[in-house]
Amino acid sequence: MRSCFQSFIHPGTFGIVRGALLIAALAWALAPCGCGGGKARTDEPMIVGSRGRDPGRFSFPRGIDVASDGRIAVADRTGRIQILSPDGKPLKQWFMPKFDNGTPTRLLFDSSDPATTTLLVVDTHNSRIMRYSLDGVLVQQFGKYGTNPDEMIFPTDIAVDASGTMYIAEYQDKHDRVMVYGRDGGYIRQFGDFGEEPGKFQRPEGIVFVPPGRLIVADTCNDRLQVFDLSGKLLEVWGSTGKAPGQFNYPYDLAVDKQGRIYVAEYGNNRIQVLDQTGRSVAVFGGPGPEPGQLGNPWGVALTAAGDKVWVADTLNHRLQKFDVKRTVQPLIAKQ
Amino acid sequence: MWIELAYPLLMWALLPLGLHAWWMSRRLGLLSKPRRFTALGMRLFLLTLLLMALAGARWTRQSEELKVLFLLDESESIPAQQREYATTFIQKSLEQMTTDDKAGIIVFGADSAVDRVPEDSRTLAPIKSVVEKSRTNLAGAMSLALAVFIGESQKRIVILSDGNQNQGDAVDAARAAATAGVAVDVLPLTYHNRNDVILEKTIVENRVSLDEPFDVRVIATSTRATEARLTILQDGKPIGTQNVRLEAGKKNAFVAPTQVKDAGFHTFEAVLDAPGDSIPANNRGFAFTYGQGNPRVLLVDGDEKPNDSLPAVLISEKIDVQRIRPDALPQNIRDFQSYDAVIFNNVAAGDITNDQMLIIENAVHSLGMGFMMIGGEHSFGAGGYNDSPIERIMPVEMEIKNEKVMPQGALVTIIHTCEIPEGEMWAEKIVMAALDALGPRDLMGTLYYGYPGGESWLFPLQEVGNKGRLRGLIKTIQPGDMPNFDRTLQMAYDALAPSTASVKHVVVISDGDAAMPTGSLIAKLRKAQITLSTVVINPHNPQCATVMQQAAKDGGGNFYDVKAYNKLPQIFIKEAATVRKSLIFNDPFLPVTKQQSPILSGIGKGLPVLGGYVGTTKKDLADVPLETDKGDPLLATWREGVGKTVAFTSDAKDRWGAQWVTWNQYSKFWAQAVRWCLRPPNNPNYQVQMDIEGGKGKITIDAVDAAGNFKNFLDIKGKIISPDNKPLDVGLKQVSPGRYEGDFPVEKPGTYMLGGTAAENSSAAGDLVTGGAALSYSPEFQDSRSNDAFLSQLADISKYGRRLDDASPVFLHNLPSRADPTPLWPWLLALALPTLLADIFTRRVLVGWSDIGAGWAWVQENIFRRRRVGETTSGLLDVKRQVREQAEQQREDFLASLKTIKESSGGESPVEQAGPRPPEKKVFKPVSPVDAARPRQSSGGSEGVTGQLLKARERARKKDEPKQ
Repeated sequence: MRSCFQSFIHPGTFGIVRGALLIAALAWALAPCGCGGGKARTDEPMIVGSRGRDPGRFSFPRGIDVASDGRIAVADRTGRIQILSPDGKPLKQWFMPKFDNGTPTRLLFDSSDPATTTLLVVDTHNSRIMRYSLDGVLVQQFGKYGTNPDEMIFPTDIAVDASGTMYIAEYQDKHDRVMVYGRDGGYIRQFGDFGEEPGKFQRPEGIVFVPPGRLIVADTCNDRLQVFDLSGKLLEVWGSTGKAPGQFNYPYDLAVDKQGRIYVAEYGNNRIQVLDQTGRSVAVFGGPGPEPGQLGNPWGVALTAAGDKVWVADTLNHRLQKFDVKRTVQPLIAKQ
Repeated sequence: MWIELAYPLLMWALLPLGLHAWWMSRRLGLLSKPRRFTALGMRLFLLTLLLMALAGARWTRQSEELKVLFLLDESESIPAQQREYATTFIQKSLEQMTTDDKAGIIVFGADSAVDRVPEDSRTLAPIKSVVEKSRTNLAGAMSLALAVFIGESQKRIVILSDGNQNQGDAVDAARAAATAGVAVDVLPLTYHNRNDVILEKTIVENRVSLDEPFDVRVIATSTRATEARLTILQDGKPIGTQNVRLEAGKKNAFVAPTQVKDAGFHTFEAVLDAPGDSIPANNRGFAFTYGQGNPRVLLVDGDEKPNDSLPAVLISEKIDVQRIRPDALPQNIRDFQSYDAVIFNNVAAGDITNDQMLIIENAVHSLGMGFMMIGGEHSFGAGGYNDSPIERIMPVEMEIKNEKVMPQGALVTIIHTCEIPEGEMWAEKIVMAALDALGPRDLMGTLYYGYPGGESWLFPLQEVGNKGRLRGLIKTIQPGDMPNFDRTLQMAYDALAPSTASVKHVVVISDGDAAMPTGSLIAKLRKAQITLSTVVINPHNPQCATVMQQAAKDGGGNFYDVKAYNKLPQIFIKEAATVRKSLIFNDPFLPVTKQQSPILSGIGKGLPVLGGYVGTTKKDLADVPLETDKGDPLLATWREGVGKTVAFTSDAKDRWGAQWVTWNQYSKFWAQAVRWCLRPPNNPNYQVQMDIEGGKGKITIDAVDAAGNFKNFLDIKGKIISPDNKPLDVGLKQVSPGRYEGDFPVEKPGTYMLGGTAAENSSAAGDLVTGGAALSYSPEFQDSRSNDAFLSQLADISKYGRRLDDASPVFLHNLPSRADPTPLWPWLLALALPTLLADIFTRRVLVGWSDIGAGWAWVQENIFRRRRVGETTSGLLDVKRQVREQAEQQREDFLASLKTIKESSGGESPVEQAGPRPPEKKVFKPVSPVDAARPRQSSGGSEGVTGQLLKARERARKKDEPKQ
């Protein structure tokens, strides 16, 4: 073929054509970089929201939970509770009755009662727990400020067991502990104290119920998780301070899937760490930054009922991120 | 939609470049004409594309986007009800925004601030920006709005104001807006204060004698006849109340007789209370007078149990002494005018505010007041006066610059202020304040919670040095949400424990959310001699404060529960000063006389032993009559502006001065020291009158000499201290015999003090002249109704401006839309690349029509596997060309054969060979069915040359006819 063409092509043309094609190829390769293309080809988490006070926007979102139908509840520092659709569209919002002193930091959908699902909101700075219907109607309120055993200062997170008994992590009165309340809002008992030894807490910021009968507490300022049975007996202690897998830096929130895997939102390490039911670290994702997939001091993590999506309250970035377990987490687990 | 160029002149480059291209194309003489033209055309097209890209070609299209800026008047003249109405209107308008709209808010008074940049949020967030409310500068706000409108879109400004501007001219700004295509809508905030009583003037004689009666005169007006109560206060205490009757529309005058008992400056305040008065703010007036008598001194005692030795001396010397604690220190410069000197006796810098220090600085420098600091464990550097306004006026520096080794102090601050409003700003302020109070060889470090690093040093524990670099770092602090203090306290411990500093201290500030660690860590700090103070601000609940208080108790430091944020810097100065205890020397020594001084006059040798002192360093121009045994200043003096200052680094009581208190020269020393720095008495030869009217302050000074003759040709100049403590230079000119006048600008309400000198000529020392005047209320309260007409005038200037009411839609898209240009260079470059290739192709690759045709035929045959039996027109044209070329070929053959014949016959050839023909065209001849069908003619023959020629011509002519 070349010899055919050579008969009527000026010598040297091939060199020029090659050069021109090379330049063209370079230009097409580089242009996307300059024009802002070149996105990472890894799976991107879905980003919901940006900074603001409108429905669908957030200012330091801290509490997040996912209902069994996929709807999401978010508490942020504007004093609002927002309900979003499973793909992040704002459905409803309401304001806490009082938030001049501070806003709620965590919430939880309670479906222990088969008749109805309600939303428990931990009104941290007002030392109380509020229970709302999904339309935003307040149906129950309990908790009182004080240093007596049945009073609380800063409740942080709440877990509910199958019978509707509530377990509330609490701190600031030098008796950091888990308080146990009945479904009627009446105080029953408590366990734990302030300190560094196993069984003691320093600012526990997360608590989650693992069926059939275990509680895991994120013992935040001790950089560890502690596992108890429902009576308050200490079963296991996991983790230490650090950045390596299996270590934590201010673990704040916990979520558990059907296989018993635990998702930990680490405020200090700006990441989500996944543990298996024995507490062994199996995956870590996130990392500090503003790009999709990166997190800024995340306060909250929640899983869908099927355990296929992970929602993170990406606090400092004023947004939520939805990660796909199959695409984000499973590959990391498989690498182990 | 059209294309426009940012730099159209660049297109002129096409001319030389095009010519160059054309000239270059002439070198392509090898090519046929059409090919050359194509090549040239390609090149020119390519050049045009590149030049257009360089010239910033843009494609503009219509923009439906609308940006609206609300200008909200926050000045004092707007009643609260009207302000509510304005914000409700903005909220309602925001709710009507569509997706193409963006709205922003600018608040204004005397200055303006952008509270919200144009964005699409439909919720009105609470207004956070703070502006100076004492004036209305609408023009400034409009100019700011024009500057904020960036990008192309429809633009509107909505002014919500009462129209009472008293700074700048909004009409000019409205014209500028109209020129820029910005529509100006107005929403008047209408009000009419029917009932307004205005106290216009309060007049009192400039100088009075003690115990002699004089009148305080008050002038007032009212919009309607009314009864009122007039109260006169003298130096803050009421001296009389009378019921008065005000007539409408004329100046009502009232008098109140009074007298003064004490010498010095006196303030008079008149207050009018009228029922139904809608603006009480303009019912007050001030006036000042000066009573001639004994000198007065303000003695500020920082000791818990003040010692009476010094006051006793002063009283016996006929100097009036007023004793107060630091928290009673006056906050206003006119209150300081009553005193001829102020003495700080062991007062710490953290006990007073920076503003008070600035007032003292001005009072000394410009108004001639005297200032003395007496030593103690809270004075000088040990009191935290490093880098303060007081240090500026003192004859010594609050630091020892001696070569001798000085023990260092070390301070670590831990900052958690992210939850209080403007937490970053307060973090910056308090760390700066602490840094200021430290000496260059002290150590300081600051910890906070950063992102993404978590607990980190803003700057690690280090010698403070000349502080400039650290100040720069402090400005960048962005304190994050620290979960607890465990790690930062540990980091502080790790830095402080190994340090060789003699005093180690940690200060923590928090709002209480962050938890305190276990007691063992704080105990560890104590064991390493590290003390811990805590500051809690805006705690969420009492327990948060309790936790912090316990930590301070365990830490051996101080606990502060702060409600007023502006006290924070003082607290940090105080805490920082605790590490400066190293400046205190507690060893007895004998004073050394270094030079003579009026203070030491008549005091012989043999000054008794002193028990200690605070270390300082003499400033270059200072006089140091007494030194300590180590060569540090003991008594230092100098002139500061028109005032004088004295530093005595030991004390005047029985702690260090036990031997002095019993010394027989004690009274003489202190009397002379205090008298030396007193303000010179008010000279009766000068009558000073100060007035504020019409936004301007006027000074009139009448000068006479001792005989009562007018004093002329004096050089009178001085400084005016405004209410925000800024000194302003002012000069007076003589206007008539003995009378001098000057003026100064008046912006804010408050007291304006004059401190000046009147001298025979510019080099002579002058007599001190002082005076004061007050602007009682801001010009905001001069108008009793809104100015709707002015606002309508503004709206009319721009073509699309409207006067709005409650129901008017704000987001009207009726403005001539501006286009939003999209740069075209990416597309131009994308087009230029293939053009470049085509250009090269045209010039370098020789593909003719026949090749294309042949290629197409080849494609047909071999790929489509089609044989064309018939012929189409293009096929016929091909054939025609083929025939022509064949004929040419045959002619050549024939001529060649002629040549050979000629050569073989040796004669001349009728046909000249022009020379070697360049291989212009190597024609590729594919075999076509037509050719194959045609029999090939042989060139040779037996008919002879002529016969052959004829035959050949016959054949050629036959072949020229189109075949069927």
